Amino acid sequence: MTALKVISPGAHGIALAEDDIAVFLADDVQLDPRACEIILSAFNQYPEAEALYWDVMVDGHRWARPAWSPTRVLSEPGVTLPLAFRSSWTGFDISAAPQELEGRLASSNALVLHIPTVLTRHSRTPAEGVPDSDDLRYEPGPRPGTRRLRPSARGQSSTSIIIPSAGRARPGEDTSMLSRCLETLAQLEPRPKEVIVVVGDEFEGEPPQRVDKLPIRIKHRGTGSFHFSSAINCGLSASRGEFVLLLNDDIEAEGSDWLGRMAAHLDDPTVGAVGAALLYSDRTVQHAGVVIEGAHPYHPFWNYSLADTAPFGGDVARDVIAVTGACLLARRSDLLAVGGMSPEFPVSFGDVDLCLRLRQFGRRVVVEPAALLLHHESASRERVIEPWEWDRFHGRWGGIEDPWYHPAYWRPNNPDYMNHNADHLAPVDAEGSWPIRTAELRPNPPSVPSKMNSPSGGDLTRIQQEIQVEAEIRRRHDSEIVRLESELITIWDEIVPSKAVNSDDIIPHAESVPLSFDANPPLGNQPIGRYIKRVIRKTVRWTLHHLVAQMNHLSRTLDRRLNEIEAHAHHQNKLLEYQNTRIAHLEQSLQMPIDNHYLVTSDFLALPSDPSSDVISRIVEYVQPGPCLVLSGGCGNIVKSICDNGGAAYGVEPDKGSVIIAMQNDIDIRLDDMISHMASIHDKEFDTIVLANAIEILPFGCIVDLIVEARRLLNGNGRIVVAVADPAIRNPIESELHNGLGISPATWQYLLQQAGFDVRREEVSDSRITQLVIADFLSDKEPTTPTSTSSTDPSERFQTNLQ
Amino acid sequence: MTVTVDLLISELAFGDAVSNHTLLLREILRGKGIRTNVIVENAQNRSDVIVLDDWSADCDVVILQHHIGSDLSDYIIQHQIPIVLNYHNITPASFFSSWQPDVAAHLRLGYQQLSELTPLTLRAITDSHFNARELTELGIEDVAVSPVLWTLDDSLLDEVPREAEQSAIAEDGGTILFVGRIAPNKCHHDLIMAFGVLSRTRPKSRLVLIGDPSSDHYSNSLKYLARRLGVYDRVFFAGKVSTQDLLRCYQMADVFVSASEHEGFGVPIVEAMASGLPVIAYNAAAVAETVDGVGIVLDDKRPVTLAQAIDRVLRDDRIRQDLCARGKEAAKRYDISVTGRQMWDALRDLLDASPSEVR
Repeated sequence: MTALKVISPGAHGIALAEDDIAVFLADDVQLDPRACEIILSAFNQYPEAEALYWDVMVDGHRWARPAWSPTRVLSEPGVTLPLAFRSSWTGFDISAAPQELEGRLASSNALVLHIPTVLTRHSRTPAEGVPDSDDLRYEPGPRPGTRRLRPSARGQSSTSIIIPSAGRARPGEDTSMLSRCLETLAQLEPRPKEVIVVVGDEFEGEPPQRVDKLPIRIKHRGTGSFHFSSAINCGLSASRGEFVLLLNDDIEAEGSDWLGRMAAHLDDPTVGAVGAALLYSDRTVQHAGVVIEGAHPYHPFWNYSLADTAPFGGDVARDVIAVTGACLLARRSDLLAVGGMSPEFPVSFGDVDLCLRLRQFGRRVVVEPAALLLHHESASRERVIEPWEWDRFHGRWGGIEDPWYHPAYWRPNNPDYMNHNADHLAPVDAEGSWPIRTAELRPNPPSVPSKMNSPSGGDLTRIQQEIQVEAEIRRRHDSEIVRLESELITIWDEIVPSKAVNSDDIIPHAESVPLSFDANPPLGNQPIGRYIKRVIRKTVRWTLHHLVAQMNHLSRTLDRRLNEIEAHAHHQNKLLEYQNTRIAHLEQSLQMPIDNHYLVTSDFLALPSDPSSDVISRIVEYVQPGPCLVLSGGCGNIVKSICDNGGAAYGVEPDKGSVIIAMQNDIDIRLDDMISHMASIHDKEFDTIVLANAIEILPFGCIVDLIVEARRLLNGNGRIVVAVADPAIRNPIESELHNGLGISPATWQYLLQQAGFDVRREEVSDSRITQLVIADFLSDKEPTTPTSTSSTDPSERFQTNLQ
Repeated sequence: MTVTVDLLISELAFGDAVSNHTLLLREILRGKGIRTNVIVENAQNRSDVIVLDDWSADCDVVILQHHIGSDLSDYIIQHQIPIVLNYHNITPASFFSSWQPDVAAHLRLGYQQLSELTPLTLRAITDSHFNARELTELGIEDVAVSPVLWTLDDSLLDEVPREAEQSAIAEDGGTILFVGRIAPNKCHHDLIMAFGVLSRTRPKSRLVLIGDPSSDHYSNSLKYLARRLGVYDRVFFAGKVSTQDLLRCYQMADVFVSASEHEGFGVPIVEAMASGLPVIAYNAAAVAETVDGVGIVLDDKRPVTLAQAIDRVLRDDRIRQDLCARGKEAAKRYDISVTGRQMWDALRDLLDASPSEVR
């Protein structure tokens, strides 16, 4: 391509073209002599660019245009005309109106350049926008020729609103800013998914639990000073909505659909964050997008009325470099993907940093001025930016340029942060020209601020990100998981005590208790009135009498209960004393001191060891194929041998030390009480139940229960194998420790026979286990009943027999 | 003349980090030839401590362990005794308000006492920068950071130490461990919910929870939750265990997961790291500081995310080995030889000073 020339006046003005470049120009246009050269070289410099536009001079005033903004172009069609197109662009059509082509560009992801140089001079506005009224997504905008997205009710109802708050009120007011904010949020229709109020210990008063029908959740962010970024991250992790709105508590919303208006922009997958127009109470602009000049973020249009910003497109939705975190809507998944807000920016610049990271992630940031909110900004905090905050921001984003901030406005070395902003409406340099600008998103992978600054931490950071993204992907693709997750959270929410009880509130305030009762209603002095009065008086007297009686009863009951508790405590003390004497006795026999802690924590007094391997192999011989339960499982040696032998066994052990040893060896021993474990089984039968270890120190009553339950769990050919340590041959220490516990093999035999088993005994050799008792279940044979009872339940009969 | 130091702690309990810290501190100071006593509210059969009622406060330096409201702190405030404040952070009362209003009240009292102790504080020593920030905000200027004193007595272990090249974990199994008092701020329920998700893909996995229940209400609710999720069989509420069993658990488990929302330091995390156990932790309070660069820190602990993190660590041998090596290395920072010196450095000038200067 060597030159650009006018080939013919087209339907829409003059068309310039050379092979593959076309420009539509109206007939009143003066073309700058350098125009063709500059346009061609721009296309050469950016081979991937599909179109470009430049600054124009209208009636002696320069239109300093922003960089390409699809959102602005769709809200204010014609704003970038005239445009030069590459005719090879797939959307190009020489017969189409330039505005239509502009719209097509905005809807595609085409790269469009802006040359900040005046290349054409016009006597009237290049093109009055004629918005496409057929597009149902839009409604008329604030000015003729503009339009705005209709609110998205779905988006509004799937938003989680996160409000970090300290519960403060504005000076001179009683109601906290948070309450006011929540009241205005309650006007939203439809209601947002949830409002998460993130509070810290500095919170003044009680956070409001309920405002109208607003679904409010209170989230505690932990201790430490107020940290906006981490408070937001805390709320973010707790949120459940598809979208998340970051909101300051000093904001008062207006109307019922502003959130939907913001959310409508997120229907476009390339948009990542949406800001709103925030006004002071005098209706001047506090925020309508952020600009960055020389790596300093500013609020443009500050203190102006929104209508005054119209020449700059301040009143229509448009792309900006960043928006304030005081009111920022984003997809939850995007925020997670970029790692939420950076803790490096606790108060200032966290929002700008977040937006810039979202842009790096490939998402656009837009502001929707049709979403209007009041922001009592100075009320929430003194706006002081610390030097280290500047340093950090420059350190991370020093080289950043804001394509939407026209270089003609630049005021280098501006010393004043806030007061400067009004200058943005001042006349601009009329003739200057600057290098080409693009609003191209850098498609870098999201860079997440790392908490791990150690040199080797990089890999971990990546893994942490991957995990969160994986989880997000899983949620997106597995609806079952999403359902399960929300179900889990609901289950826990049901379990948690619903109302937080403040210990100071347990005793109700005297004022709130009704003290008087009007028993003399104004019913006149007619007989019927007197009768009714008498009835009421009698009823009241009776009720009071009854109440007093109830109170007395209650007090007596409480008294009795207190006495019981006292007696119990006394008993416990006695027990402790007894235990101590036994320990002393034991220490004497062992001739060594016993560590108190060890006694308390390791159940030293109740820990029989597993039988020797010889005995275990004998036990295994008697285990039948099929499911087997080992009570108690001890350290798991019996279960292991059975499993090694091809059986299917698990054990139950009440002693946690043993269970831990078993777990260590990967043996299936479950920590539970033996009898309650059996009682909880209803859908399973066993071929064999092995009784060993802890059974030798059970009291007699428990053994009976054990046999009853075991009998219930055995199938028709079931068998019980008992490894019995005879209490009669215990050494003196053991007899001291286990005095009165455990029963002899003969007693086992008798009990099992009574329970309807065919029982035999086998001698074994072990330091403690003397015999094995093997009991086969006789399903056809009724338990022997010396004193026949009428009870039909065998276990009941069995127990009766034993008594 | 010998300097005397009294260490004040409301109660000494087995397995409690602050109690262990106090006893270790006593050893260190005694090792330096300083006459050191431990003062408690209730002796509980111990003969090596002095009960508050018998205490005369005629020592040179008083070091107060503060982590909950106590009569001891009240005594200090009443008698306006200058102290060295050894602060271990106070759990925000809001965690307990719906479960144990009494504990919440105690914690609130702790906060109140903390602000009343501020003017009496000659110097504050605390476990983490997270805690230090809190103290600085209260207006205490002289704040030193020295991690809680802690030691892992591995002489009790007869097993071989955990090997980095340990065998791969079964695809459907894995043992998840958390150690810490069963209290609402430690968020066991988040672990159980994550375990509920994890069990779907790893039906043979186990969750081992070691620690005393602070209230039956919370711990029973957890058991109920586990039952509702159908995982009760595979969640082990081991309660309080002996040191030996604790070490066994660290050896046996495959991953240590903390969903806790409030830790002033997090001794179990360090123990896990020292035992070569990979650590996954939710980023709250001082946790990230402790796990810095040696474990997986998550900003989101919803069940699926937490389960995903656990699954990832169990699945990926390389990460486990990496975390194991890093953890062991990092735990050296918290070895008693290092932290003891830090503690001594933080105290030395006070103890070297002549008694009259201090009091």
